[in-house]
Amino acid sequence: MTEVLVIGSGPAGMAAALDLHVRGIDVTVVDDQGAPGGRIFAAIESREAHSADDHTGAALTARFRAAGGTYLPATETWQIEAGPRVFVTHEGRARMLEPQFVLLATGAQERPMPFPGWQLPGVMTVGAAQTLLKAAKQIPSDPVWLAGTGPLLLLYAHQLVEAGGTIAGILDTSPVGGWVKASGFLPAALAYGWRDLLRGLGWLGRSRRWAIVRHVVSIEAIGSECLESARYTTASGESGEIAAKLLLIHDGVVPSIHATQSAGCRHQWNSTQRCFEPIVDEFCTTSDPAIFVAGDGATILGARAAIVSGQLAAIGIARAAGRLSDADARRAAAPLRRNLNSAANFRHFVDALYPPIEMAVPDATLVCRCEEVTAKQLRNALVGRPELGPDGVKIATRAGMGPCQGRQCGLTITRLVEEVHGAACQDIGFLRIRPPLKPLTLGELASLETTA
Amino acid sequence: MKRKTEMFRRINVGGGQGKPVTLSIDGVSVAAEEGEPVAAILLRTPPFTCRRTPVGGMARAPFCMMGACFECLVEIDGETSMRSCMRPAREGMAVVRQLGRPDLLAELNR
Repeated sequence: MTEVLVIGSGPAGMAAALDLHVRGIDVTVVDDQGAPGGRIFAAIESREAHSADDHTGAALTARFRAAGGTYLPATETWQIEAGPRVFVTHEGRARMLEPQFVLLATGAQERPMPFPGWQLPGVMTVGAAQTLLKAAKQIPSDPVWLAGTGPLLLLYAHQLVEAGGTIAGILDTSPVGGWVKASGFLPAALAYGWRDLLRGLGWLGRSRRWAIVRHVVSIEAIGSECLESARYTTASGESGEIAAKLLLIHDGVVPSIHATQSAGCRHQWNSTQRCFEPIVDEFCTTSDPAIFVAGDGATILGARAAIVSGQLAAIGIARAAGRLSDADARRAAAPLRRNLNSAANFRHFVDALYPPIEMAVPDATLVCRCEEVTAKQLRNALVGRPELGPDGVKIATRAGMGPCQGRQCGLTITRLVEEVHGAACQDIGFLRIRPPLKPLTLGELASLETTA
Repeated sequence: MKRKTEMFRRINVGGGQGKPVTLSIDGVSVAAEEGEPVAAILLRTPPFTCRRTPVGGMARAPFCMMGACFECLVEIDGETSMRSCMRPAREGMAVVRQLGRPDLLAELNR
């Protein structure tokens, strides 16, 4: 029986597994994707490395493969219970694992960016387009419009141009005065990420050539069966309409918390990044002493910090397993913590420059794409019912009950409760996440071997 | 309404090129590369959608490409509601777009 189960083989998961392996701890890594790398290093083994980050990812992935621990790709985790007990399926067969410790390295997802028409074919996330570039080597056929804000949007625009694509323009939702607010964080940010900042400036320089509509405050996607055009308005009240069959949207990334929520870990509201995060201690331990979280699944700091965070979690697990004394663990952790503090300083700069925008959600917006519940239905359900939280409004409207289990509407539901009831997001909380975390067939359930 | 022009095109960016494979989408043969996500192929194949929703019959297409939005559900080799973004293309794979609510009687008779 494996001592440690790592869920996720992105930068945090791979770094943690390698570190645990070196410490002589038996580790199994599962990942729902077919190859290691996570989102940031997707298909890293089958494409050319283009940047320093890609080279880091390729080297880390090669070391992870060579370490020879148990790695189970294409394996979905669908339930995590106290114990811990973890249920996974691979190729139609389910099994239960009972490791001593679980490390969740499940990363981030893009923040839902709802607006009227965002469910139309032709509206996709920037992250999706980036995955298409990395994993399928495909790019938009025509000059493409991007909408939103954040480093990933600029990075993809840059990668698309490098790959031979064309940008039509950007509906930029960044607020006025971001650079002024961010400048205070610049000195500390330079220490950690001057290369990133230089790269970012390069992307911004290139972006001057594109049509950029600044301070966009509302977007509406128009079309009957698919996207035909998009309307926008700006902070100064100007409006316009662009013809588009593809619109790539992005409003930053947030931790993927379905696994930690379902495992019963305690969470807190990050008011700067406007998202929930699992509460972890200085060794990445959650409120359950057998469950650890590393990487962007704990707090958004990016891939480079995720590697360090994975190493820190490995130290934490070795310490909790009695394989490393408290003093040795603290000594080994100190330089990693300093690195993560620098990464956090860099993040403060990025947060000031690209704060989450969360455009107003008009009544016509399909907040829950699966069950097709509009913002108006949610507001109507909430008005005059202060006792209703996310779970109450879910029962009243079915929002969050579909196959995505609130991954695309959960944060918006919390926002709407905040808006209608005037409560604090920390108190409102998130939808209660129930198993199975990913849908599984009855056949898969029936195949369950209760002894792993 | 069928879209006449494509949304995405493939590029050659170097790196390992996968083996060419042929799979079928709604019975029509489609050329692809082994291992690429099925959702990517759907986005290159008219009408560039993957399903109609069981709730309101709306057309939907892949949205997040990372298994989190469940928009790209299709039938693959007889199994319904598979996330096509999570499934690598294989030779002979049979992909069927899902049109609204499943007809349980038709399923039974199959």
